[in-house]
Amino acid sequence: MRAYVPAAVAVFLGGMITSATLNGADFGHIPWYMSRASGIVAFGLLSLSVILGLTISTKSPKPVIPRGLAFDLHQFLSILTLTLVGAHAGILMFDGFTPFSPLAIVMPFAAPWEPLVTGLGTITAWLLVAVTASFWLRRRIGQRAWRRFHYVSFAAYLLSLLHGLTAGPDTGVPQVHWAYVLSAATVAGLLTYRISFRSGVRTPAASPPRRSGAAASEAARLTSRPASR
Amino acid sequence: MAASHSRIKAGLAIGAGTAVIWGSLYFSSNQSAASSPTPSAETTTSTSTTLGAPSQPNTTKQTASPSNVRRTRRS
Repeated sequence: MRAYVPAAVAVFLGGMITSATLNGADFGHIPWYMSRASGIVAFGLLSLSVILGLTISTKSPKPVIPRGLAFDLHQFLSILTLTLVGAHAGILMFDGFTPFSPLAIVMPFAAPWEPLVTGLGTITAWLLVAVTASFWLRRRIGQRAWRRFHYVSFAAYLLSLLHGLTAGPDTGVPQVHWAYVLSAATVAGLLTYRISFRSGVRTPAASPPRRSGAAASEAARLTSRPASR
Repeated sequence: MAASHSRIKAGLAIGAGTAVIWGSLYFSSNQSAASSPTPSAETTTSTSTTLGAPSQPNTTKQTASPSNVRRTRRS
């Protein structure tokens, strides 16, 4: 424990010196480029996280990634996304062209540039904070409540997509444009599959005659197996 | 098993960091290649100098790059 004290003091002093050095420095457009890049990468990571989450919740009989690894990566990707979202917004405080105040970064629709579309990004960030924090509250709030609250992540994804399409100056770049399309199509496709998969699983349980029919066909399949061998 | 998870996570984090740096450099190089200061911006700066206004070293902020033009137009 004592070993951490000098390290903490060194990090604190280093931060103070760095802040004093960077205070008032004109970084020109570098923060703007970094913010754009981190925003696009954050969206890519969020897409991956949502896709992984959908594959977990679909409970496919033959999962491409083992469930344990998928859940672990899903959680990690959420944290990584949140880190990059923090960088995406925080870097704008150092932008020499349109500097954002700390209040404009944390409060929706208070930005000095395009308050409406940047506000969508701020709301997305807060939703992501809540969803990511809920990973650690799962045991406290219960699995059912956690799962229901986790649907907020779809709203966060949708808002981030809207934010990227409307606020991002790189939407016109073909690679970025097609990345948005690919991400949205994959998430929409998986969501449709999940809904249909779930309803397909529930339908036999809801109607007893069908269940008996399915059970009969399953029994027939099982009985015919030895004969085929 | 846990070690392989850690490696994948480290790979993802390094990949994300590299992508951000690469993206920033890409945007920077593309903007600088496409952003020669427009004559109007230059004229504005030189006029203010000849009129005796205090010379402000904010020519970099006046530089018109596509992204900034968009930001200016939007705001």
